[in-house]
Amino acid sequence: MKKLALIIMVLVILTACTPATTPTPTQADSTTLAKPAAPTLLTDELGTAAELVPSDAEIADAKDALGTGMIGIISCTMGSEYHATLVNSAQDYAQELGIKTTVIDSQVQADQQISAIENLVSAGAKAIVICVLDPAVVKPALEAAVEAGVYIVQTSGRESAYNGIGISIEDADLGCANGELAGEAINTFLDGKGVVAILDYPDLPNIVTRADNIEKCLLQTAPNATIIGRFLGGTTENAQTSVENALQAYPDIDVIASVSDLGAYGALTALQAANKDPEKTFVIGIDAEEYALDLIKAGGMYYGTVDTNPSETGVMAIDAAIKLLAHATVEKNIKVEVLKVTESTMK
Amino acid sequence: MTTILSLKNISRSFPGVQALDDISLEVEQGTIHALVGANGAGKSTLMKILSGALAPDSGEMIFENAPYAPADPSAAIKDGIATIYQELNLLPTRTVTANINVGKEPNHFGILDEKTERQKAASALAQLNASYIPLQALVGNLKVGEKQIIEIAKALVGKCKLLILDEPTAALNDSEIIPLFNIIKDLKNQGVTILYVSHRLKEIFALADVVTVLCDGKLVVTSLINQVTPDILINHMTGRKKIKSAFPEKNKVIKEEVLRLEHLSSSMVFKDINLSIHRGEVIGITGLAGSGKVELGKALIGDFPINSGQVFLQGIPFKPSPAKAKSAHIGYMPEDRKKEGVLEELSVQRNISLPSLSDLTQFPGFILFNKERELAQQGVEELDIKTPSLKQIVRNLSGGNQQKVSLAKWLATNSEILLLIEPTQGIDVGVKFEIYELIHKLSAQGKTIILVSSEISEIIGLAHSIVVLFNGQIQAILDGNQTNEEEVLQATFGK
Amino acid sequence: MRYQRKNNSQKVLQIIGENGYIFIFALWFIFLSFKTDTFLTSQNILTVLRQGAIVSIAAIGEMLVMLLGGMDVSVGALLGFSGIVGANLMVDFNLSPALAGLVCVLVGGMIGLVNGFLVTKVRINPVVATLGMMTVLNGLALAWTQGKTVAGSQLDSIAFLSRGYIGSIPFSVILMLLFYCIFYLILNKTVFGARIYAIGNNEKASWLAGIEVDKLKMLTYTIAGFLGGFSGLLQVSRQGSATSSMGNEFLFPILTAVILGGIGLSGGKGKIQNTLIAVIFLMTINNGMVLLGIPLYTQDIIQGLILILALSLDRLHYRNR
Repeated sequence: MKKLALIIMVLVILTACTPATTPTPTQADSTTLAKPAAPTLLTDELGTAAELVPSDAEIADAKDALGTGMIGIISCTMGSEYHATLVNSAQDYAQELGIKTTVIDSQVQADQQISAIENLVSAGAKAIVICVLDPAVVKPALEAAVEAGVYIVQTSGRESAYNGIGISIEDADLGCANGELAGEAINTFLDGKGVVAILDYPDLPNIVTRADNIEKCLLQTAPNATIIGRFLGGTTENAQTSVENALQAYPDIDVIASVSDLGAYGALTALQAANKDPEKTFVIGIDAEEYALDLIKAGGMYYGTVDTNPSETGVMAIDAAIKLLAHATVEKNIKVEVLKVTESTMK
Repeated sequence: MTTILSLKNISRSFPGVQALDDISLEVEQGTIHALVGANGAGKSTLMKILSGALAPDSGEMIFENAPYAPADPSAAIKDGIATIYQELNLLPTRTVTANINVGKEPNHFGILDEKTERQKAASALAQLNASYIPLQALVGNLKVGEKQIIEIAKALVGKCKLLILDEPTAALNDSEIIPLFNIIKDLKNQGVTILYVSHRLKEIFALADVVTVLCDGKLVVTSLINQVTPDILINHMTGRKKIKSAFPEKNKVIKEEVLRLEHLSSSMVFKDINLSIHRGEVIGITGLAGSGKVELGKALIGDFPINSGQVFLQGIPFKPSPAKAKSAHIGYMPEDRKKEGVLEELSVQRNISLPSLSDLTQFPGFILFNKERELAQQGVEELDIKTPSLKQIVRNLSGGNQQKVSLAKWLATNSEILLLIEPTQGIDVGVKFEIYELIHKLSAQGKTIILVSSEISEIIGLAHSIVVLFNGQIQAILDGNQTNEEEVLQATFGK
Repeated sequence: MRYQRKNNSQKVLQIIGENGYIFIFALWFIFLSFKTDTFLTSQNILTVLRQGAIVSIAAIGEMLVMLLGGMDVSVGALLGFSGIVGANLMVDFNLSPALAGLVCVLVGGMIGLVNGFLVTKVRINPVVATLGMMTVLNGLALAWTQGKTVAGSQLDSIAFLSRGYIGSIPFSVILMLLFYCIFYLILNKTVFGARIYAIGNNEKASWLAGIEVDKLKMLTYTIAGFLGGFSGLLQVSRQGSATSSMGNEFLFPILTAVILGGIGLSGGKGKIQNTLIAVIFLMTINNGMVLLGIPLYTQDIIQGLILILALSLDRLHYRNR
């Protein structure tokens, strides 16, 4: 059960968010300087989406570098809303620019990514955008690809972006945004005094980071709130069972901060079954799933979620690949910013 | 002579069964002491207690003048008592040397001393006059008789003083039995004491010095072998005053044909079998091992593939399968009773009722337990199955009674044709005769019996006609009333 | 004398051993009753039973299959996939709840039939066959939902199944008891049940006794599928939604409960009521740890220890046989 849940959770974590600014290609910068032999990667700070937007000259250079080749895209899975959106947006954007892409779905199987990388390289990929499932498993294959002159853009973290760019969501930011939403609800509707349960998923360390930061930012926003503890969440069933049990011991819970929307659904059902007052009870998730957005719009207990805007991340990935192919100077690590969603922000 | 082992008032019970009841016994150093008894007499329990596999409920044992209470089989071996079971306990993928030394490999600080290991194996084999067995051979490739020698050699390396042999000849053919006997006699001359467990009287009279008879968990008699006769032993074993030595008289009324085999063949195993089998007839099928007799029997129930030819049941083509056979009222008692004949963990009642269950129901499939009980009770009484209750699980019954359970379920379905494969194999004389009488009775009732057996005396004593297979083909069909053992035996050898 | 005494202590061990996990369950139950104010309240007990309802109904199917000496590791995935199909039909195709529920159960049954076919006719090892089925179903679930949560007001019409009450008793608990009564009768009083035990005990001997083993096995896998499909419907009702990962939570507790309840891996032995008790035991472990306020990060350790303790007591009497 744990292993399966883990796989599913991987899908959930790998959700990201970017600021709503759309990168528009800036005016061509008509330098006649010779193109450097390799991209320059800066590591002093985290870059932003705006810094990745390529110039027309860079696009042209990248196309030259590509020749008859293409950019390969390896998805973690096409079976999740987040990942499918990310890949589709990357593909559409590349097509607009006249750049060829090839997509491989690794179906959440880490070992399949090895052959996916090898196949893309032999099919003529000059850059690979990859959502890495397990850094240790793909490391040798990615190094071999780099050896063959291929640039790597990683959309799921930074550690595997050998000779390339890592675009990543910060779990700390996701957790903090969730905690701030919870604090906001407590301050606005509960006079700053809420009883909070956090839904965690301890099998995955980065999810625990989310929970840690939910707790930290919630207490910063609403210092008088009481956090009664962390309970097993992550999936709908886990969360539902945990909240049912928690309500037996602590019937006065009024805020549930969940590390994922899936868990938040379970919490919501359990709270409704316990006939909690919808005006005084709040559930906050992460991921901005469609169903979560529906629930927020409906204006019940589901107070908010944290958006990860996958289509922006897809565009950023292609931009990063272009920068690399054009041998531009660019930050190695790019941060994706998170966005809080509540009923009021949706209007 | 000195006493090497003495048992005092040993008792052991299992749920519902007093397996051993106050057994006191002395075994003299350097003798071959035979232990005989019908199935269920308590031989195996006694053997298990001696080998440390089971503890007695009460009583004590003295071995070489010291109290003997092994905690487990390895403790028994350490004390000098080794047991060789019918099911040999060897590692088929390891060499002869490795098998003989297993568990007590000579070593220096954990590093195997292969040279000493080989020497020990070689000298143990030499002691058994079996140096012809190559030390490097894999045990899985040896013949059964040779495997048995390896087991004995294993015991010798373990410095055994008392060797218990459980039905050692059960899996051997005649040519292997004589060498085994020589080995046993040699061991005796070297001072090893042998406890020989068997129910083959012929062997006991050929080997043993002393014989002890068990019956229903009690010790009946211990006697020097030259003071008893086989008949006396049988009487002791069965607890009967007198045993019929002859087979019951054969039924004389044979009616119309019920089963016909036409050109029945199964690739390489049996070929072109043509037979006509009649109501009320006992037809015996015999032959050497590998003649195809067992496979032919199994094919009739669908447990062995038929490649060509046809079976006709009352003139209608019949494609055998156990389910179809059941609805055609054909019952089948397989050779391997434990694996195929009974469901060991289920009750006597359920075992007997199993094929009839669907007839003992009311809508929508609920079992009528009263009827089931009646049916089972009837079977238990008819076959005189010894069980403390209908709820007893079959595993706790003796071999002969398990065999009766295996047969009772088919009598309960009113089978018209009974296919019995080696029905008396591994069964004590008492039950054997009961089964013979039963076969006679059933054929007198107009039932058809197909009896596949390698025991020629049994075939001649029971069957109206005897089909002898040789290399998968019918060598001869003999009249059971006219033929004799020699003629049948010759036919089994293809003459 | 020495043997006599050993025999008595063996008897005590046997009594504890044969009911090993029930003994540990009882200790845990008593401990929770004294240690917390909330555990032994009718509301909490009903919560625990309600949480066990879905697992326990799906576990019946698993139990039947394991009694035959088989195993179905696709049960969780089957539950999830059937639930998704049912929910999807209601939400996106506006199919009536009764019809969608029926389809949901039938889909489960069909998958079970395929499992049975693979095991009996294609003769694939049950674990391997159902493992393959599990992978296929997980993939189908993802593809069907595209990772999205299936939810809508249409699902409110089946909310009664898992979230409704009759008087103060949750309807799902009534369903659970009803299913256990029915299958208790089937296993103990009918020919079908007797044959399941017979086949699990000795397949070859049962076949030779004229039982149509393959047909009965296929039927059993199909029944397990129906039960899994129905459990999927119950889970949709419980969550008020269907997610592609929905079934993943179920395999572990189902297998644990069936094994804890004494169904050996080789089949032929075990009582259905023990499976139910084992499911409830599992549920009280989670419930109890929350009530005791045990930190989330140590809960796994304690859960593991309780299970190992229960299982090792259970195995004592096998060793002493």
